[in-house]
Amino acid sequence: MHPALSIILFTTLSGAGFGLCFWVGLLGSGLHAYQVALTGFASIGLASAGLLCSVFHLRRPSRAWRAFSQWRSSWLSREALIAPASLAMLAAFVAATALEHSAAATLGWIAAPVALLAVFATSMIYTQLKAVAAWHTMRTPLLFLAYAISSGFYFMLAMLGLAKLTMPQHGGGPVVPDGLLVFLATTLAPAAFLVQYLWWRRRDAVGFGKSSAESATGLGNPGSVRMLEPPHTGANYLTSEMGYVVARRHAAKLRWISAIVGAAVPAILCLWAGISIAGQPALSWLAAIAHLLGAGIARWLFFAEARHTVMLYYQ
Amino acid sequence: MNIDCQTKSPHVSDEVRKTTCYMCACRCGIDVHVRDGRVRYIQGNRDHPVNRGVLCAKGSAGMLHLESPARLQSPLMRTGPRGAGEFREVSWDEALDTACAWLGEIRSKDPRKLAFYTGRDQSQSLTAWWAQQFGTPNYASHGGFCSVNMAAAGIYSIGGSFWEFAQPDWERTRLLLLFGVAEDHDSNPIKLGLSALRRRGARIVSINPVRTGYSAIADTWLGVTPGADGLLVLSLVRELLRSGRVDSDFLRRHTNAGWLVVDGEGESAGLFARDEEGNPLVVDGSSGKLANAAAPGAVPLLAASVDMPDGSRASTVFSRMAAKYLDNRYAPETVAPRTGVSASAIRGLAAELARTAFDETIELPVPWTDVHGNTHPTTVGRPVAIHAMRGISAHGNGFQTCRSLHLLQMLLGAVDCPGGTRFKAPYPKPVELHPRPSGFSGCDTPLAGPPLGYPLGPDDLLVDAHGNPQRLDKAYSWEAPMAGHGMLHAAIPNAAAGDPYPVDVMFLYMANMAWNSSMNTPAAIEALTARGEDGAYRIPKLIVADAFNSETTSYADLVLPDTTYLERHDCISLLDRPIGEPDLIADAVRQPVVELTRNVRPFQDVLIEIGGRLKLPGFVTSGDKPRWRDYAHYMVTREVVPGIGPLAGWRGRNGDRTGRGEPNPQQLEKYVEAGCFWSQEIPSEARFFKNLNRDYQEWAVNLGLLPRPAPFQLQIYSEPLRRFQLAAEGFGERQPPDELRQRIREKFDPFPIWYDAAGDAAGDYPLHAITQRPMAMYHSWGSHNPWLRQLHADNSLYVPGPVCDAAQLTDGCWAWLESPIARIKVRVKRMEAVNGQTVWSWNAVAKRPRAWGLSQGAPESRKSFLLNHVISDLLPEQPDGCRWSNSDPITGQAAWFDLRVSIRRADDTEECAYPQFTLQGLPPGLEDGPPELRYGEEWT
Amino acid sequence: MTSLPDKTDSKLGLVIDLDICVGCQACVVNCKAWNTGGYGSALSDSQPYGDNPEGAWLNRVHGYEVDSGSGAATIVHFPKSCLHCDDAPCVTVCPTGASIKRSEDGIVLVDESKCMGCGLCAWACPYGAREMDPSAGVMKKCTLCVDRIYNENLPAVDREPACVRTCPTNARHFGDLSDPDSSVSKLVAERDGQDLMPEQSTRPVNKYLMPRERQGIDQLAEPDFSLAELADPTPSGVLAWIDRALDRL
Repeated sequence: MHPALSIILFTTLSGAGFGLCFWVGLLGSGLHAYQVALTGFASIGLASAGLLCSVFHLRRPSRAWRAFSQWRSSWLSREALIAPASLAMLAAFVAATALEHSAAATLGWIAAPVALLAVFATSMIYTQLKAVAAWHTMRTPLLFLAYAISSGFYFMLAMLGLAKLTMPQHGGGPVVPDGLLVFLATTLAPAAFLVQYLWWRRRDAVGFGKSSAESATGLGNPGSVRMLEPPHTGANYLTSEMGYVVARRHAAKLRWISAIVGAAVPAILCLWAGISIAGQPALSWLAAIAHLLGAGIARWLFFAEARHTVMLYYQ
Repeated sequence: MNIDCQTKSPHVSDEVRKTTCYMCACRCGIDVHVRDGRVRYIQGNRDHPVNRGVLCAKGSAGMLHLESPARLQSPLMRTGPRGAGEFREVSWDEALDTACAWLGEIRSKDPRKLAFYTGRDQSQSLTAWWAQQFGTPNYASHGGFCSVNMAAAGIYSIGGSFWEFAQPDWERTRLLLLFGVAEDHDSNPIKLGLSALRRRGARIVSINPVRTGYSAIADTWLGVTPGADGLLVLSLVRELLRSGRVDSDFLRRHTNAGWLVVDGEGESAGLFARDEEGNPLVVDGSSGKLANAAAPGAVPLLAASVDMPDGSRASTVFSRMAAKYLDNRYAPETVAPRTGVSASAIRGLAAELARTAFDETIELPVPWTDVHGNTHPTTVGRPVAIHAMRGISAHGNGFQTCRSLHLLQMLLGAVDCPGGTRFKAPYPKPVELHPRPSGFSGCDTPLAGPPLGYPLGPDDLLVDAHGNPQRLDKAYSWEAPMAGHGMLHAAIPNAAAGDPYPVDVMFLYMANMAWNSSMNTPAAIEALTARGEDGAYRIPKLIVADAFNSETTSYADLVLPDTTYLERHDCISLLDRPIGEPDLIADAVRQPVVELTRNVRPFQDVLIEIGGRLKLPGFVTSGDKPRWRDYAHYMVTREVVPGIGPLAGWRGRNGDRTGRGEPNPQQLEKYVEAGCFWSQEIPSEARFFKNLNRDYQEWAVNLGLLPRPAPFQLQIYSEPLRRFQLAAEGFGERQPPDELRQRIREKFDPFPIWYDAAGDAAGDYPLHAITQRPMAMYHSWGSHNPWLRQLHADNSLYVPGPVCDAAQLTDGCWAWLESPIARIKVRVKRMEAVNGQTVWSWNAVAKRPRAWGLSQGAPESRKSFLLNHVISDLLPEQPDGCRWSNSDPITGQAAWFDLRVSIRRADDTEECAYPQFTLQGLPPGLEDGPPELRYGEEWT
Repeated sequence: MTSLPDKTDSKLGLVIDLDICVGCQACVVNCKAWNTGGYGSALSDSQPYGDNPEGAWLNRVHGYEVDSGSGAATIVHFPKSCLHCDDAPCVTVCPTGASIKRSEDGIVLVDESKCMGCGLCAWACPYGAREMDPSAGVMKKCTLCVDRIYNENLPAVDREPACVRTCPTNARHFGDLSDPDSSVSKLVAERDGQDLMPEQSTRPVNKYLMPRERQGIDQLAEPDFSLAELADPTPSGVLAWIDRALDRL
C-alpha cells in the first residue's frame, strides 16, 4: 500500500497523543494540576496534530464533517467520533483537576480507557480490511495499542521532565513506585517492538491470505495465471495506491533501524538514567522522540509492506 | 433504503445524428449524441448492417478527435527546413493558388512529375479519377503496403478476396480457419461473427504465430512460423488430394480443374488449350470429346491427358495439380519443421476439414439456377470458411500463399456456398472485368483509363520500349507486374533517387509516409530531406493533406488541413470497398455532425476545387466552370457511366431507382433520413455460387454492379501468371530484363507454390519479427487519442520464454533487436503463447517527440519503437549485384513481415528506446495539450 | 447510511463471458465515453497528452497468460468492473454515507456530493473496482449505468449498461441475478458462473463464465480418416490413381 505521509503521521502522532491521554487519565489524579495541565495539553496537541494530518489525506476535506455520520457501520466514522470525545473528556479532566473538582479522578479514569478506544478504532480502520491480509488480524489493534501506550508513556516522562524544568516547585514524579517507573521506561519500547515483531512474523507469512491470482481470476483450474498485458500501459490510481512495493532487502534494513531507534535507544537511555529519568528532561525527550521515530518507521513499513489483493490482478 | 442520487431519466442529448465511423477502415454506422453543439456520446447504430449496434474502443473514443491539440488549424507554408515543423499560416486562396501553380505547370509539361499517393483513403473512386484526369500514372493508395497480395490473389483466383470483399458465413459455418487475421479490417463484423460461431459451437482454428485477440478465443491455435502459412496450406492440399477428399462436382462445375493445358514446350505451352473462338477446352465426360468449357451441359473429366487436333498434347489442370502437390515436399513430416506445426496437427486439420466439409454438408432448401439454365433444387454447402488478412499478405510470398488458401477452398467446394466464405456484392467478378492499368498518355491529357488495374499478361505492363518502368513506384513493371494497388512504399525512396525518374510534386493525403507507412523510417526521412547538388530538395515540392500534425506533416512544403470525420460529408461507395453482407448490398455516407470551427476544409472538397481550377476534364462544365460545389454535390451528381454514381440508393429523379438511375438532387437527404446508409437484400435465389448464378448475374446487371452478365470459372490454374512465365522463358515480344528472368520463371507459377521469402532460419538472425495492430488502435491518428493512448502509450517486444531464458532476458529489461541493416533498443516482455521463433510487438504506438499533440517526453517517443527502423526497403544483394525491393515479386506488396532479427540484452541501463528522434516543432495555431481533461463535465 | 440492506428487491448485475472476450477494449472506452458526461463528475484524465497520461476508468480489461501445465499456454482477456457485491465491504467502511448499496436493485453507488475522497472504500474493495477521480477528488465506480437502465429518454432497447450494449462479441450480459428465470441466471446455471475471490466473502453479484477448454487439432483426428488406405501415388501412375481417388467420392 502507498505509505502516505499524512496517514503515517496521523496514526503515529494520534497514537502517541491518545497514549499520553491514557497515561494522564490513569495517573493524573496523583499529579499536580500544573503537571496535569501540561501533559493533558500535550496529549490533546499530539492527538489533534495527528487528526489534522489525516485531513490532508482527504481529497475533499470540506466534507470531512460527514465522517461523523456513519458510526453504525464504519470504523473510520467511529474513530472520528471517539477521538474528539476522548479529547473532550481529557480536557474535562484537566479542567476538573485545575478547579480541584471532586469528580476529577473519576473523569481521569474514564478518559484513560476511552483514549485507548480511540486508538483501537483507528486500528480497526485497517484491521477490518480483508483485502489487505497483513492488516486483517487482531494483532493489528494490539500493535497500535502497544505503540500508543509506549509512546504515550515516553511523552509523559518527557512532559513531566519539562514540567520540572519550568516549575521545579511542582516537581515530583508520577505516583508510581520508582522501580515500576524504571521498569516501564526500559521495557515498554522493547515490548511494543516485540508486538511489532510478532506482527511482522505473521505479515511475512500471510502474503495475500487465501487469495491468489488464480482465485482472483477464477482461471487457475488447473494452472497458473500470469499477467501478460496490463489494462493500461501506464500507472493508474489502483497501482499507485495499492501497488507500492518495497524491496525485501530494503525493508529488512528498515525494520532493524526502526527497532534500534524505537526500542533499543529509549530503553538504553532510560536504563542509563535509572530512577532519575523523570527528572532528566533532555534524556526523556530524546527517548520519546527516538521511540516515536522508530514507531514512525515501523508504521511506514506497516503500509509499504502491506499487499492488497487488487495487485493479484497485476502480477 | 431507497436512495436516488439523481433523477432516473436524466437528459442525454439534444439530438442523435447518425453517420459513419472512420476511426478505422471498418465503416460502422454510429449514432452521435449531440448536446449543446458538442458530442456527448457515440454508440453503434443498431440498424446498420456492418456493426448492428456494437461499437469498438476506437469508435467509442471518436469524440476526443474533436478535442485533439494536434488538429491543424489552417493551411500552412513551410518556413524552416523540412521536418522542423516551422510554418506560416496562409489563406486558402494562397494555398490553392500555390498548389495549382505547381500542379498546372507540370500538367502542361509532364504530368508524370506529379506523384499522388493517398493513405487509408476511402474515396479512391474520386482520388484515382482525379489522378487519371490530371494525366499522371503515379497514383496509388495504401493497398500496396497493406494487403494487395490478398486482394490480387483473390481476384485472380476466385473473383474476390477475403478482407472486406468476402466473409465467413457466420450463421452456418461449422469450421472457421483464421490465417494471420489483423484486428482492424472488418473488426466489428468479425467479432460479431466469432461470437455467433462460439454460441453455435462451431469450431474456430487460428493459424497465427501469436495467440492474442481472436486466436485467444479459438478452439485450436496453431502457432505457425511467419511466412510458412503457404507451406502449411499446401500440405493440407496434399493430404486432401492424397485421400481423395475433394469436391469433384464443385471442381468440375465451378473451377477450371477440368480445363486442358497444353503440354510440352513452346509459346503456347502451359496456356489453356482453346478452340477457334478462344474458348478453353475440356474433355466432356459423357462424350469423351473435346468441348467448350463454358458450353451448357459439358461435364469435364478431371483426370485426362489427350492428343489435340493440332498434334500437341494437353492434360487437365487437375492432373497437373495432383502431380504437383502429391510430391513429398509437401508431406506433413517434411513441412513440420519450417511451419512450426506438427505433422500430426497438419493431418488432424486436414481430417477435420474433410470431415466438416463432406460429412457435415449443408443442404439449404433454396433452389438456384445456374447460367446454363439448370435449376438445382437445393443449395449444397461445405461449411468450412477461411478468413485471412495481413499476416498472410505482408510477406514476399504472400500472393502465392493467398492463392494456396483459395486453392484449398476450391478443393473443398467451399467458395460462396452456404457455410463457406461468401462474397459481398459487387464481388465476385472475373479479373477480366476489372480494368487494366493505364499509363501516361501525354501532356494536358487524361490517362485512357484508371491508373490502377489488373494486368492479364505482359502486354498490360506499364513499361517503355526498353522494359523500364513507366511508373515512379515501378508498379506494373517487370519488378511487380501484377501490382494491383500500386506500391506506396516505393514512392518516396524512388522519387528521392530519381529512379526511374525524378518527380516535381509529391502530393500525399492521409498517409503517414514519413513514419510508419514506410518500410524504413530513417530512410524515408532521409529521402524527404535529401538535397541535390544545387542544394534544392530532391523531391522539390511536397504537399501534404492531413487533419493532424503528423510526422509527415512536418516535411510538407504546403499543408492542406483536412477535417475530422465528424465534420464532413463522405461516401462509402460500392465503387470503392463494399460494406455489405453476403445477403445484402449496402453503401453509406458521412454527414457533418458538429460545426467546423477551424480554417480547414474537407480534403475531397479541396481536391474537387483544385480539379476545377486546373480545368481537369470532367471537373469542369462545358463552359469551363467548376462542375461541383463540393464533395457532397459530387457524391450526388457524379456519374461514372450514365446512371451510375458513387451512391446506389435513391437514384432517379424521384429517388425511386436503385443502382442505376439519374442523379437525384435529394439523394443525400434520403441517406441522412435513413441513418446515412442504404441497403437492399439480395434475392434468396441469388445469394450463393454467384460466379455461375443466373439470378445473381441478372440482379447485379440490373443494379449496375456488373456491366453485363459475367459468369466465370474459379481459377485454380492462373493463365495470366503463366503468360508472364512464358515471357521469362523467352516467348513473346515483351521480354523481362535478364536479371529478372529466373525470378519470374520461379515465382509466377500458375499453380500456387510456396517459397521461403523470409530467408534461412540459420545464421545471425534466427528470429522472425512481426507486428500486430492493437484492437483499440488504428494507425497513428487514433493512437494519439487520450483515452486510447492510455491503453497503449508504449510498446514492449514480446519474446518467447525459451528465447528469454537463452538470452537472459527478463520482463521489463531492455534489449537490442538487430536486423541485417540496423538495430533498435526495446523493452522485453516474456510470453509463452507465441511461436518459438517469433518476437512481436504492437505497431503504430511509437511517435516522433511532440508530433500528434503529445508532449516531448511522452512514452510514445521515449519508450516505444517501430520495427520499421530495422526493416529494409531492399532485399539483400543478389549474386549479380542487383538489389530488389523488399516486396512480393508478383504484386510488389511490401514484405514487412519477412523481417529476421537477433536479440541480446542491452548493457546500458538507460530506460529509453533507441533510436530517438528530434523534436518536432509546433505549427502556428497549435498549442500543447491541456494538463487535464474533464470531458463532459458541463453535463454532469 | 452505509449499512448494507438486509435484502435487495432485485440483484442487477453483469455476467461476463471469458470464453468469447477478445480483449478489444470496446467496453472499457465506451463506458468511459458514456459515464464521463453522465452520472457524477466527469471521468477525468490527467496529462491526457503528456508524459504520464492517467485517468479514472470504471472498467478495465487485463490480459492473462494461463499455463495449465499441458499444451500450449492460453491467453484470457479479463474485463473487470464493480461486482456489486451483496456484502460490499466498500460500502460499510464509508464514513460519510457516500457509498451505498441500493435496496431496490442492489446497485452499489457513490453519492459524490457526500464523498470526502478518503479512499478507504477503494482499499476495502478486494477487486480494485473503485478509482479516485484525479480532478474531482471523489470516488468513481461502475454505476451499472444507473442513468441508462431506467432512463426514459432512451429507447427501451438501449436501457442497458453501455458496456453491454457496445460489446462486439456479446461477452457481457446484463440482468437480474436474483430471478432464476432471467437470461443471466440461466447463463450462470448453464455455464457454472463463478465468483471472483469467493474467499473474500463479498458475495459478488456479477458472475464470470470461464473459458471452455481449448484443444489441439491432432487430438480430434477422425479415426476413420485413414490416409494409409491409399497407396502412395507415383508420378507415372498419377492418372490411374486420380481415377481411383475420384471413384471413391
